[in-house]
Amino acid sequence: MADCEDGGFKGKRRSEQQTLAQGGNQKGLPRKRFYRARAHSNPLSDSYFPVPNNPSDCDWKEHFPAFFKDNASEVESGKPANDEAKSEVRSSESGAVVPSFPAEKSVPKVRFADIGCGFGGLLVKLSVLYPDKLMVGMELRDKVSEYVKERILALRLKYSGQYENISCLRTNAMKYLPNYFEKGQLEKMFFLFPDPHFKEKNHRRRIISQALLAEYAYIMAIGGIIYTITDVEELGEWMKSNLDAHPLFEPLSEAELAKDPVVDLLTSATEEGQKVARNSGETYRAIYRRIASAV
Amino acid sequence: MEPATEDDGGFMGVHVGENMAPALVSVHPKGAHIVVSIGAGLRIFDFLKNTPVAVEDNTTPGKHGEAIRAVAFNEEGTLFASAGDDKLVKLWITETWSCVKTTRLPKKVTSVAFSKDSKWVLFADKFGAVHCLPTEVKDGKDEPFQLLAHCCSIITDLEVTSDGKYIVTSDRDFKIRVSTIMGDISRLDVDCALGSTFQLFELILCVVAFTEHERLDQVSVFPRDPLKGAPEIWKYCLGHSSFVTCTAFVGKRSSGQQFLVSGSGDSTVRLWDYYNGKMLDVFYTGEVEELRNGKVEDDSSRAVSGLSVSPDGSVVAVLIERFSGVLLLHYDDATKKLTHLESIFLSEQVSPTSLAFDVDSRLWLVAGAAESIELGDQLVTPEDAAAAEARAQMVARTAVAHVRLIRKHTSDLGGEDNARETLAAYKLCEEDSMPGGESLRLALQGSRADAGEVAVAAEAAEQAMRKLMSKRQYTIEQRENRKRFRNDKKLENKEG
Repeated sequence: MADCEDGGFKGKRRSEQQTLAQGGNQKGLPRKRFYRARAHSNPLSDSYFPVPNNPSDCDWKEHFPAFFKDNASEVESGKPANDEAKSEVRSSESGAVVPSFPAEKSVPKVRFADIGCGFGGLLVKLSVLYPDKLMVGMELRDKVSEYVKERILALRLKYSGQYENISCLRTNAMKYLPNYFEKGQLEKMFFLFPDPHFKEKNHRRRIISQALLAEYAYIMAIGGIIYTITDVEELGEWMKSNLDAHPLFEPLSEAELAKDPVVDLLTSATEEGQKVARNSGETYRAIYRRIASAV
Repeated sequence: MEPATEDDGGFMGVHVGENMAPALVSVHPKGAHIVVSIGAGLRIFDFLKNTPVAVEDNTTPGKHGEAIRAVAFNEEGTLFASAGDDKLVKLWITETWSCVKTTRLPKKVTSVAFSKDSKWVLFADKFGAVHCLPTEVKDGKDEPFQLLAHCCSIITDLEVTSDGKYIVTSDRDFKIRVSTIMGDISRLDVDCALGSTFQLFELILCVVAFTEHERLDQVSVFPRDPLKGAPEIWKYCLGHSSFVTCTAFVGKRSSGQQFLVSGSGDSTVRLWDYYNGKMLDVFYTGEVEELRNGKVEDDSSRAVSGLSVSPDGSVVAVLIERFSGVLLLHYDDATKKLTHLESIFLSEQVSPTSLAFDVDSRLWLVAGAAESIELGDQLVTPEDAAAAEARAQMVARTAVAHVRLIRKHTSDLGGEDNARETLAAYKLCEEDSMPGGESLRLALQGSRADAGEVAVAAEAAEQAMRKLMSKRQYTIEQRENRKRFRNDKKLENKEG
């Protein structure tokens, strides 16, 4: 933490600390060094954050204020022109191989979830790629989820009208996903560079397991896609074999992978992915589709 | 190996340790036996012969070494399962009360249920997994395989729906989950004509046939790939704001329309349409007049600690923490609502720890608890294990329990007033007029039946349950201490 003459520096909120350090200019994006946290967090410990009792109790209006205004047409209209936009805006229908999900007609619902979103790199990239889809990142670490929230707020301010469709939740995805999402709600789920939990006795904490896949299959719509990537070979094999073993998922073919615009983002969009690329590491992907049960 | 118990001579001679396990009661579905489990021991009484029954166990280990936490009869009453803190599941044949199978599991068991066709026994453990074991006795060991899991949450109750299609599990993280038992006969190329009712566990590639064709039994082999289980979650029933302690089905079994009631730490009993995951009604036990007039000093909400439904599916009996009686609720199938029927108080200040309706709509209550001595993770030599087992059995033998009965009293109304008999009054049965009489009381209650002892033990068991279900609160200092002495090594001695 940068130290200051002010003895009360440490007691202030992070955004205020940053403002002080930057000399009073709060317009800029949050700086990561004020939000440093260990890479590992224990998902088995009971942390203290509010969890909705069921999906209908969850107040999404707080996360996506622009989408919950009175006019529903807000959702269908294209993005206002903005010369600061970095990527071209593409509609969600192009390039997607899976049966295209209809645009939101009534109450908009979250459709993409990034589990363990870290500093939010993927969300930011996906936001402009799919401007009509609501997406959330879920992060267990307190400081990191705060960073993502501040980042999104700053982006919304800087690029007016954009980034209204992403948000971050501080929660334990292993335990509480069914509290946030209804059955068949999500169209995409992302697990980028999850914690490998190397020791065998910790394998039960891995985010991909037979038991958890049942939960992910529950909240995903049929045809929805689950994207996983890691740079640890053993974990890559573990995730792939678990997905293979689960009867409600089938792998995407090479052709389908080639056509999906999201696949390349897995390696390039996040800080972790960029680090792996810098070190010329290998990555192992497992991308599967949620299918209907055979019964 | 002396476990560290708070032994100042106990209170009134009762050893109240850290971990008190409640006494459980279970009645044979056809009324033949009643079983009370207390600590590591089973006390069985035969109603037909009016005598206690001694069990026969030639499996190893031959007795439960720690408290029994879950008991269940199968639908016909031919089998009985007991399981608990010693991580053993014992399967008994009720005709002879001999144990035919004992299997060791990786984690402590919290709940047990049989599949509808009695071919499988399902059990849930403290880590959130539901395992499955065939009930058939074969040469050689069978390994239980995992069906499903709640992530890292203690499963508090496990039930199988009456149509055999779903498993309902409730857990400590306020959730009730309905999972599908999969089955698809077309996957098999077995050439035989099957009856119209059968259930299979398809994804574990194992046939469990409920049919009159004997030769199909040969196909009920162990799964080729134990990784597969019950991978499809059908619905969640979410709405409780605290840990869920128990679940039971209401409504007529014959009509097929079964709904679920659940009790929780938030002191409500909720009614669910589990097929659609919808909550139909909430009953706030805290608002019942008689409960409010209880002790004034504890403001905290009292958890629902047990549920049982009458055989006709219309009366729900509810046990509540620190309530020395039972609450009876009426389930109305037409309006799908729960209403207060009666509150029945026991004559002594003891809160029952377990309850069960029998086939004649009599409600049995038992109160009592015994210490469950944790052996912990240390390596245990066979001598130590035997000594611990012996001690547990002794504790079980000397522990006292109270058994009480509540019966429906049909009022003596004649003629036109017959309509009123449908909501007959339930009354506590006099001790002397309980079926089985003195014999039963001696067999099930233990040698001494001191109300004070039982009350102390039962209260300790309730506190243990609450401690288990609630999130632990540590001070900063305690947290630092725990981090410092964290044990990452499995089999080595702990320091400090």
